[in-house]
Amino acid sequence: MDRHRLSRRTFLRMAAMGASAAVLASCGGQQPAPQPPAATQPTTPPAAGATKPLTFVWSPKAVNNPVFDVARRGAMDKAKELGITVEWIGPESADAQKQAELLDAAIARKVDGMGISCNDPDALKPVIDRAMDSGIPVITWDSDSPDSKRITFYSLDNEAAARKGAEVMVELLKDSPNKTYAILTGVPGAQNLEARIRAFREVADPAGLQWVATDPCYDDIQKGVEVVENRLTANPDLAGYFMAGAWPLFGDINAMPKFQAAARAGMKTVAWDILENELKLLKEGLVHALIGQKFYGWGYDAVGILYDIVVNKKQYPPFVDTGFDLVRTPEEAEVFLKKWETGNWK
Amino acid sequence: MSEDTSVEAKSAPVVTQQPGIIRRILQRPETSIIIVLAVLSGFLSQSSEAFLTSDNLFNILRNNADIAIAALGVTLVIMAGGIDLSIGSTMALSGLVAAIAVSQGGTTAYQLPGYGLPPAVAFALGVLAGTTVGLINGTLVVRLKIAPFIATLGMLGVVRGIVVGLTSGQTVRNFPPEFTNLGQGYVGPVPVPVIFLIVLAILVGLFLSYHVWGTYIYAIGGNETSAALTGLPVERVRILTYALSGTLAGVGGVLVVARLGVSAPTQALGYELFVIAAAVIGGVSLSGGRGTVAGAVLGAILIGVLNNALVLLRVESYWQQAFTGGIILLSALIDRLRQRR
Repeated sequence: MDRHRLSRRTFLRMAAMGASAAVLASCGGQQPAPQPPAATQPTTPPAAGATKPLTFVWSPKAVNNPVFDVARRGAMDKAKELGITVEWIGPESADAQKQAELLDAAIARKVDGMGISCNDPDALKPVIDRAMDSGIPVITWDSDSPDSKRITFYSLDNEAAARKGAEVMVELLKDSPNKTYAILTGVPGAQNLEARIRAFREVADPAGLQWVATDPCYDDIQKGVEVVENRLTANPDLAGYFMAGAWPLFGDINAMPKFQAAARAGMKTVAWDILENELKLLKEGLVHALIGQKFYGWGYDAVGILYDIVVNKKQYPPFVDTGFDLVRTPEEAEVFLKKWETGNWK
Repeated sequence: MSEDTSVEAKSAPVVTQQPGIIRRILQRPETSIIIVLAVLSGFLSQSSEAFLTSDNLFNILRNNADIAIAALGVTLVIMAGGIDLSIGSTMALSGLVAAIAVSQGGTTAYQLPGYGLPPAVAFALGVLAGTTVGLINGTLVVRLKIAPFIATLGMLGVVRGIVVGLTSGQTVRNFPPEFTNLGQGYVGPVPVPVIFLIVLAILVGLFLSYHVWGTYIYAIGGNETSAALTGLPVERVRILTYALSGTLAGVGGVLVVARLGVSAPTQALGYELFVIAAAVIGGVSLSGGRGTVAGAVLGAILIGVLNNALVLLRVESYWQQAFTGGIILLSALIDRLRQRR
């Protein structure tokens, strides 16, 4: 058998090329990200006589999610208006235990308040209760821990929004002889997603729509694309799709040729969130209704609520409904695309 | 030890008795997974007429080409007695580097600007980012004597952290069609990522079978001390396996970004488990010295067929993980029973 030795030159060449890739990666990091416009009108003025600047900890489920970055910018804008400090502290990826550890450290530092999007209601309950017991007011936003001692929960009403989405789907399919639809979810058992699915089906199924399957994609874009394509392989004549999250719609629509073909053949899709790519798909007629959460408000409005609680001693009910945006027309999509383009969500 | 069959077969100069063809087939590391795949495919083709179509089968291959390509690399590492837990993060970094290099610029206030480099250059830079991670892994394990599990677990965190830090959680998109064609295009009926997989599998297979360093990998994984005593360049071979693992993970990562048209900081999160599972259920021994390229590819295909089956058979979403885990365990069990024969 002919055998050859791998040359040292080849090996060194690989190392050199690898190093150049690392340089490129760090160059990417040096690119300044566009900044949002300066804040204009504070919703809650700073309290007179405050002795030291307040420090709030704002904790998303994960820092690797674009929608939370919008929330972060909202929180920072509000902090600037109020003259307080907001620290953005969250796990790299959705991890309840890691989030609890980070928040425990914040309790030890005796921060002045915390706003949390909970990865898991039960896992975060002890840390929320510890904070409240030690005099640190806590509110939750986006994702709740209802049995904890948190003061209030700031979110859209998932069930109300999903019911509205189902009504839209029923209307979209009213003239279609084919009433079949599938559901895409993230992690099975996630409370907010289960609420959306339950409420959607409570409206859609009695109205005559025929549920085919609910497929999970574990909050993974790539897996979401795979699952949707597999579903349309199994059910090529699907009439409707309800996506309880935007996962596969993050990517290029050409990654989902079956979805694209089905949409062009008349399949209707109602999807959660109003991400840039989804809005463009709606303008193209490939997605038909989007349910928008108040990403910016998770930071901007919710920081204002906590400030009101801490400084102005204002009372809030256990649940503050943010409402939601229903986007159905290209004109409505354009309004939100402009917000993504400029970073101005006020 | 039964896991060392391949090493023994390769190192034994005199074979006194040729085993029968059935026994030889049963001795192949890929046999168990072929049995599981055949049974599963037979069942699926009976249950759904959509399964056994070229369109569906190519879809399965395209969807899992990245896992299969990365599994080729991790097979080399495991066969040499190591482990690489940083694969998912490496795939994400490579995808991100290529995305930043090729992107024609952000379209929102949040996205990173791109450099608009030619797709071939972006592809190479992305892959080389993977090679760099692999070389660092190899250096940590081989030169600095950090246990492979810990070294690559640390790099998993460091590299993912770099990806999240560089992007601030945002996506990178807006690629030219020449780049997305690498993931979305076809050559005839065959998706381009599948072409990449076939070519790379052949190259890695040839390396293992015909290149002297390839055969060293079997020897080192089978018994590192003996390999060192016989004068084999153990350290350099082991570093090479990590570098190749990073490189191949890089290719997989860039192809996924090209297919999805977006680089997200969550890309390939946790995929090291799929990749290592693909290699191991394909017959690669975690104790080293044994494994094949075909086994790793078949392992990835089994994962893809399972994902496909979950949807075609309408397995309730709450039960899907149990179903997948059960089939993987079944494959491992058949492998264990086969080795006892």
